[in-house]
Amino acid sequence: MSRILRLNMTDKTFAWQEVPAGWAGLGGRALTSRIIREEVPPTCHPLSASNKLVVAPGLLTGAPAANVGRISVGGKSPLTGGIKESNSGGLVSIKLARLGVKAVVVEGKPEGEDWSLIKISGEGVEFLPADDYAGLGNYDTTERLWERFGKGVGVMSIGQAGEKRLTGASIQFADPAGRPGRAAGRGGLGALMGSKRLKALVVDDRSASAVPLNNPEKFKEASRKWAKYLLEHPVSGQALPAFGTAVLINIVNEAGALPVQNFRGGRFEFAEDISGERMVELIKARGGKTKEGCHPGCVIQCSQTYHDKDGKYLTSGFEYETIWALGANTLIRNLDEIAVIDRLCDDFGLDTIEMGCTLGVLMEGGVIPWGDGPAAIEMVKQVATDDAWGRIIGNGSVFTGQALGVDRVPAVKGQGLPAYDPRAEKGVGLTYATSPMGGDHTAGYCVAVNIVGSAGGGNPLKKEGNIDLSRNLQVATAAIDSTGLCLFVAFPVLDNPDALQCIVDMINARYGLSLTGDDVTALGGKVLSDELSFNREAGFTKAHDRLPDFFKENLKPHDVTWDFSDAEVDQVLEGF
Amino acid sequence: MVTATMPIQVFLNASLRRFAPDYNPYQGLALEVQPGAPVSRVISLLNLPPEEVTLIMVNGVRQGPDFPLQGDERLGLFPPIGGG
Ligand code: SF4
Repeated sequence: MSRILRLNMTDKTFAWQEVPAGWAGLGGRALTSRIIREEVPPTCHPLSASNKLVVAPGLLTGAPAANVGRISVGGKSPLTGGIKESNSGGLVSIKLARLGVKAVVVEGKPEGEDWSLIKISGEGVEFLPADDYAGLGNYDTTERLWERFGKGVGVMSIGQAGEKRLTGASIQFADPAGRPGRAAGRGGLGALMGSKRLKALVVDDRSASAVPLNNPEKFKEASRKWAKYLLEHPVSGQALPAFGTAVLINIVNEAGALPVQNFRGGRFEFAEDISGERMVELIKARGGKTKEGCHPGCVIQCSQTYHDKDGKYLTSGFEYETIWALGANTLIRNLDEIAVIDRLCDDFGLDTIEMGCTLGVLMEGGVIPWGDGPAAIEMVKQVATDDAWGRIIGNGSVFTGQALGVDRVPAVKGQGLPAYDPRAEKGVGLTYATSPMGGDHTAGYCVAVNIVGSAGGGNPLKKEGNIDLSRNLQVATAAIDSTGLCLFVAFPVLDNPDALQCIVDMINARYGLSLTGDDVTALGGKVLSDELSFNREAGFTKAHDRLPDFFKENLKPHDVTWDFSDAEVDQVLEGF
Repeated sequence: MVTATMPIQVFLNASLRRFAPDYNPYQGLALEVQPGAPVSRVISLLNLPPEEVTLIMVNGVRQGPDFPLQGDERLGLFPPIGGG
């Protein structure tokens, strides 16, 4: 039976807890958000002992099925002050599931200044001193931990940004090649981990057995179909492995929704220079890898290994959002410079979207010139030092905007906006405005429907249909995030009703349940209720569900503005 | 009376570029079409397999293969793609 592991950082002890009845059917985001809702005082300071860092594999994680190894990391966000679930790949999730750990709850806070490292394995739980690792980036940390505990152990760690408790800090996860290129990036959860003085969590499942399946035959049948659906769909089966997510640069640019120069325009003159097509060309010419999974069992493989011009490894998991944030948004058009910043972000443990928005604000404030890659690289390097600029930019776009007196800051609830202009992709704009996560695209990815044309398509430029679309996708995503499934399964799921049933069949066969598709949707609704009620008690009101004023300006090429009334925006998540 | 043809600019993306060997992604392709010609005409003019062109954007707006072109448009053609 799986259990909850509590790590008490105040006195460096741990305890196992049986899963309370109310948490039994929960996993991933549903579980992290429920635990935070029940145990974290919404008004606490995010860096105080009262906040908790919760890590949970999804309901399907560890079972023999495709793309179920994602992990949810939750807490009260140091960046937004609201609840947060950040989702990542890596090795930790599957290993925790195989060890029968339903969730890890990191609580309390030590008095002293010393750092800890915690190892979870079949033999038990160990608190180990980690002062030797303090000050190291995630690359060195992961390398040393693999040397010490064996190649292939799961590693979740923070870099210098998390140690300094900067609110733009991420938590990084080692991928199957031992590179910390996967991130629970959003919301500054690295600062929360840093406040607990936890440098890294190592998970070794070598003595674990397979996760139990209530009905192995049925599970096998469903999971075989599932893999087939993923591979048959042209997006998950062909496009994502061929070009990675960066293939979106040209499409979002063509759609006039690629934010350029701190959200001033919707088309980038030099989009081709930073496109997925260009990236793949460079990867092939330099001997990198165009497709790679962020966790074992991924059959889509949207990740990649990017080499520098000398053919040496530079970075991995080089995604669309990152390339946009550090590229089109800052007018940096050299993919190698963008890759260097991505590498620095993974190493120091910084959210790349937040850093891209921050660099845009820095350029807005005239600190460095637009499009100046080398200057941006030097600025980002300051984050690992004690330089004041490093502290400022490491705290994200809103903090930097305040430091510079800049009023054009693309953020909602303190979190920098991702790679779609809300005026030209109004559906995702509603998600930015209303998601309990703050400015976030994955929480209700209307782009898949409005721009890519899945599920019959929608209209990104008009208001019609987008309130329902954002609402429905936010509910569905909350459910998907609870299963451990990677969000890119949404492409086949949106187009193929049998694929959704297949997910339900797998959950039922894993646990001996008889859920229906409606039950899974209801789960998504409950997750949102937990999250929104937490935020309300933390002090969030409707006034926080608003986009910055400058989105009322006209956006080229479509001549569109953000024209939803406040009352319309408030309808999106009404009732949760 | 002969109707004059009108210029359009075509951008090919992702795997569709393999059908145009010297394709310059910065310029796209310049074509002439009769006003009213559907997008599918351009697709066949360029020898693209129609089943691979699953996403069509005319002046940045998603359209179907029957959409009539008037000239001076910017046409973006895509195979199935996605990400996020
Ligand atoms: S498709 Fe990409 S994000 Fe999803 S599991 Fe595979 S590598 Fe990870």
